[in-house]
Amino acid sequence: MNTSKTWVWVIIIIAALALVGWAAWYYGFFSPVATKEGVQQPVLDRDTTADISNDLNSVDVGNPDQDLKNLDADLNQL
Amino acid sequence: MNKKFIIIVTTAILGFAFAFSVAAQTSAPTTGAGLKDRVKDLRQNIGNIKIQTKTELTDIKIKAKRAELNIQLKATQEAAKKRIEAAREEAKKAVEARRTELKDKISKLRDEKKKQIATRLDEQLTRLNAQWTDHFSNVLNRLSEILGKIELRATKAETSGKDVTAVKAAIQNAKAAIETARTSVETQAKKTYVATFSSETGLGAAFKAVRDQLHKDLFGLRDGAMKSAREAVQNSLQALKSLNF
Repeated sequence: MNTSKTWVWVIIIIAALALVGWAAWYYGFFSPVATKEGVQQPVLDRDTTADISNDLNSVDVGNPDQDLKNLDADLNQL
Repeated sequence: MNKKFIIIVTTAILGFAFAFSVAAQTSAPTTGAGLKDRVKDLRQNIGNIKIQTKTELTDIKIKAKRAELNIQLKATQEAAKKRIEAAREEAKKAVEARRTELKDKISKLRDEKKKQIATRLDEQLTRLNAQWTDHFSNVLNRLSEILGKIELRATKAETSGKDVTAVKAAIQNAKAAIETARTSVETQAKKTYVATFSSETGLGAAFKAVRDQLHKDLFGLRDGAMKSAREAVQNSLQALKSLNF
């Protein structure tokens, strides 16, 4: 009676350990540390040649003509 | 009791080992197609890790380059600003005597309206030169920033294995052109525009001559050194574009 009770406990312990072990394996606790591949994005790059081209096109060296013409209005009165 | 306990623990450990050996058999097949797949997966993982490491190293290099360029840009812009301010101060001191003389002559004009116009024109000529030299300096700062972007992009292309020799040469040319333009802007900031006249009848002609000189100088700078700097940056961009990166 006492011996069969012990065997029941042995079976329960084995089953429990096997269950815990399977769960640990299933959820990846024994897997090597996962790499960040697919999670970490490369540094965002907004400096494409198209962007740079737009930047350069928006650079206006300017034309002093209008400012100088404004002087002419005064000059003509002298 | 003690013996029973040892039997229980030993059995449990054996059971545990058995369960895991079964699990290991499932996760790591050792025969046929399963093994090939496993090897393929491992190779893929190694390849991914290599790519990731290379990408991370490139990112670090690019970040360092960006930081370096930003520091350089800030230092260059600050230095250029100080140089122009110093040039203006120098010009102001150099022309002080002539300006006092001009103000004295204007104050002696009989026509009150002409007095006001002459005073206003004198101020406007000085202001316009300062305004346009500031504008040109800002344009050069912007061109330097754009050139920095080109340089950064070239660094990225280089790390990807592209031959960027032509781009680097074009960037150096652009840097030299921008520096030449900065010197020209500084020279322009040093220039003074003070009318000189001996009689009231020569007032208009005197101011017109100064106005024409300012026109000639500003357009000379714009169509000369400024245009060259812009074209040099454009050439750098063109060289970068030809990499198809």
